[in-house]
Amino acid sequence: MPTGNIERRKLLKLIGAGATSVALAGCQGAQQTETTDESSGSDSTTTDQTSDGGSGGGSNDFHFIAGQVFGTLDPAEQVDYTQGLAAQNLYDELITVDAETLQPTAHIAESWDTEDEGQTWVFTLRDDVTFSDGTPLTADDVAYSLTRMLELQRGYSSFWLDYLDPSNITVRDEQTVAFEFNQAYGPALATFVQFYIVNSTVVQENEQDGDYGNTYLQSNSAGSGAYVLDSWEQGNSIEATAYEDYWKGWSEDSFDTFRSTVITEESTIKTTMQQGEGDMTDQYMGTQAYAEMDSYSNVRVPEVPQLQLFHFPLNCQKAPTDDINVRKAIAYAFDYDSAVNDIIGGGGVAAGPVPREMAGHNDDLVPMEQDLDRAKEFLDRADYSVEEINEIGLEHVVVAGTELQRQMGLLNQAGLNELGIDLEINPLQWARLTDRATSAESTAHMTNIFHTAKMPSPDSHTYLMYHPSSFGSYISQSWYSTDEIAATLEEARQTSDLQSRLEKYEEAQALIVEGMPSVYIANPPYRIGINENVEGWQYRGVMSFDWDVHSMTRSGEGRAE
Amino acid sequence: MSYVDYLVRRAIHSVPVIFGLSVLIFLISRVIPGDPVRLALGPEATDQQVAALRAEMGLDQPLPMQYADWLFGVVQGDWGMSLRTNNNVFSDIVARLPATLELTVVTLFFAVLLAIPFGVVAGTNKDRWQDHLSRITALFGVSMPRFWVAIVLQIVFVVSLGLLPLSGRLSDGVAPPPAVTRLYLVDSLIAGQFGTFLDAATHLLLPTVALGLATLAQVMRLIRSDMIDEQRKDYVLAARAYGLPNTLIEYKYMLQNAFTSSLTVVGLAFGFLLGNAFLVEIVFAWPGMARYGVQAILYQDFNAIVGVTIVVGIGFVTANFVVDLLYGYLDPRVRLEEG
Repeated sequence: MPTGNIERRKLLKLIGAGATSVALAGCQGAQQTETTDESSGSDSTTTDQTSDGGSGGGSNDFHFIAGQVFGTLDPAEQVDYTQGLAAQNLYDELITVDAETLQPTAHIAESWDTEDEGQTWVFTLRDDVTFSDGTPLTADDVAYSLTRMLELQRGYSSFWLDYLDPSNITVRDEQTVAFEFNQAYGPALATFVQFYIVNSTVVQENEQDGDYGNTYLQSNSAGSGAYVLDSWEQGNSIEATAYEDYWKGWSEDSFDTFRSTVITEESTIKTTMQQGEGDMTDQYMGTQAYAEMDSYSNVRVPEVPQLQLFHFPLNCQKAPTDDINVRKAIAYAFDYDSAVNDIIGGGGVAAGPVPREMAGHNDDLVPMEQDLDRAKEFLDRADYSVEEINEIGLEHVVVAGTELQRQMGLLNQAGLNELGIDLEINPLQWARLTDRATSAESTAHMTNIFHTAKMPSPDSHTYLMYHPSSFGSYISQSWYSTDEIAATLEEARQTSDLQSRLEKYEEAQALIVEGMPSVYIANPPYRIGINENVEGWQYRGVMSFDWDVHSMTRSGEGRAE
Repeated sequence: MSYVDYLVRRAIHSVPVIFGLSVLIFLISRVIPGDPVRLALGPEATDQQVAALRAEMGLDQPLPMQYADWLFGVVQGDWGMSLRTNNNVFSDIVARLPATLELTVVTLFFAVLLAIPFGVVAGTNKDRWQDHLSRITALFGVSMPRFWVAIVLQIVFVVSLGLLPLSGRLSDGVAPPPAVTRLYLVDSLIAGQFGTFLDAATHLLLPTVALGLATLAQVMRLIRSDMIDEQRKDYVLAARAYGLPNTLIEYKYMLQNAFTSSLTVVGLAFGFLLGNAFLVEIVFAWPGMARYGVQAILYQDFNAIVGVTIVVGIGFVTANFVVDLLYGYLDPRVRLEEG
């Protein structure tokens, strides 16, 4: 045997030596750990069910099953529902949403006023709010938090970036702060439901390289919210413990800990709920999943009207949907009843872009109905013949991987086939869809879109969809506006009186619908799965606001199984 | 060239493979259509916000510059920012890799451990019931989709029988052991937390079965066919003539030769399991790297896509390297003589 080779026995010796080293290292680790664990006196560190923190699992532990990861815990960056869930429980918003009226209402700001004909908003803050470190929340914290958002330019800062300069945020006294916009900004109050306040002292102390404490806030909370962050295992779970001195107080049955685990597979989510291991799900599963959960004895699935629009924006700058008669033909050919009753399984047919339950919806607008004769009439009036339309080719983009989306495409295809029109259904990943929405040329003729309210104002379903300055987002894929619509929407934004402003939005809706820039299909119902032993849940219109764990309590002994 | 030199050379050859992979996946992730920046910022994002984030991430630079920046960062442990988590991709992967590694290694270990006796029994009992049974098992293991097997296992063992936990790495209320390797089985043993060890082991059971069934089937069938070949060889006839016990002949002499070809498959299976554990990770809510990779693809989180692909690539290269090492151990003929 050549001397350069490793003998089998030698190899075994090497492996043995390696294993011994690992074992020795392990023993050392064990010794260190034993010392650390003396206080717990347990080999499996099981936490008790008090508010002392640590892993949950007790009867007073609220367990939310999230279908997507928490991308960030910095409230200045939050845009999606899991980020909103974290912000809603760890921080307090300046203004909140009233569960009964779905309108903005007092929260940290106990009152407000406008000056300079709606250009300046002055907020008076509650004086009994403290952060989780015990320091009082003051106007300085509010001013810093909004400045921070404008400087970071993330999250919902887009609500104010064009209207508010950080230098125009003024602290008038400890409890009063004023925001001077560069014009009257009507929806300001509604936008502040997405403005969460951070502890300016703590965050400034933990700033790194001008990051406004962003890095610090990924692993720590610095808010006045009902819960204080214990741990965040990104991509898996978040755990928080009740803040004892929360300004809204606690009831005996409140949840001591709040925990959210990321489970993306529907069957696992359903089984988790069925086994009594989860308290609440999100609203993004398929219709069938909620029907199944509703059949479990320990889970209820409330169904309430939602501030959401499901529609197909029709690209008004692209042939042949640049012709209003083609758009009307498409709209009349669609089977709305089947879409709402058979595919979505509830809710109502939409009447224009603004959800019907939202204040400011134009009640004079009538929901569409399928009428193939009228569809043919409009098609006869169109500048394009059926042959020309088929030659150009109509494309309907649906989000890939979702059965509901595919069925909507097929239903549209069936209706258009009745008119002799061919329709290509094109499933796309969401990232590709949003990319195509950035120009009229690349936007499809029609696209499935769910548009949920981010603030309690019709502005998000009008201005953000049909004002030219909003074009380029997936929300505005109709590429449709007129001078009159744009002017009306601008006037609405500049009107400080709420009633007058809502009237402007109603006027705008009538103008928009005249041009048929979308097939307004449905205002889908809001459904989530809730363990039977959770009480106090209320739908609040704006994404994630109904997951305010502080407002809920446990009835009975632990979760219903 | 000595055997050690050979292994060093094999290790050095791995570097251009990883480098080539990085170039390829970096380019692919950048040119696939889509706008992840706009997606990350949300629909209300202004053009100003989009431009600012693009600049912050260096996406306004030409592709070669972007790659050079990325490579420079990689060397320093900065794998770029994930658009979905806002973290350094390296720390995201480091946080999730142990969960996937634990799942993959345990799966591979048990798949091979079971495949050996099953394969040997099937090979030495050709066309008898043991062989038929192994054939049916292998067919089932290879043809059943992993996610389907996973869901069926959950329904049977969690919902119906209530024997095993549904998801995650540990039960509610059980804290992870003090982190040493971040492999819960290992760390709990190191810490002497046997309760946690058992809890982690029961959580691993169903994901391991769902993930490992196909590998078990593949390795078992390979060992079976190689054992059949070995049976006809002279050394086996000679050993039998000497009256050596069957168990000794089959498990020491025949298996050693039969296992050589299966070793290649085992090596490839490791890399394959590492990259394809996502379906099982999703069904069992296993907080691993594969699930992170899938989410990265769906959200076109390109730094994360590149990072996960590189790690899987390193997994493949390492597994093949170990296979080369073991080849030499199992079959001295493959060792290279000193030049």
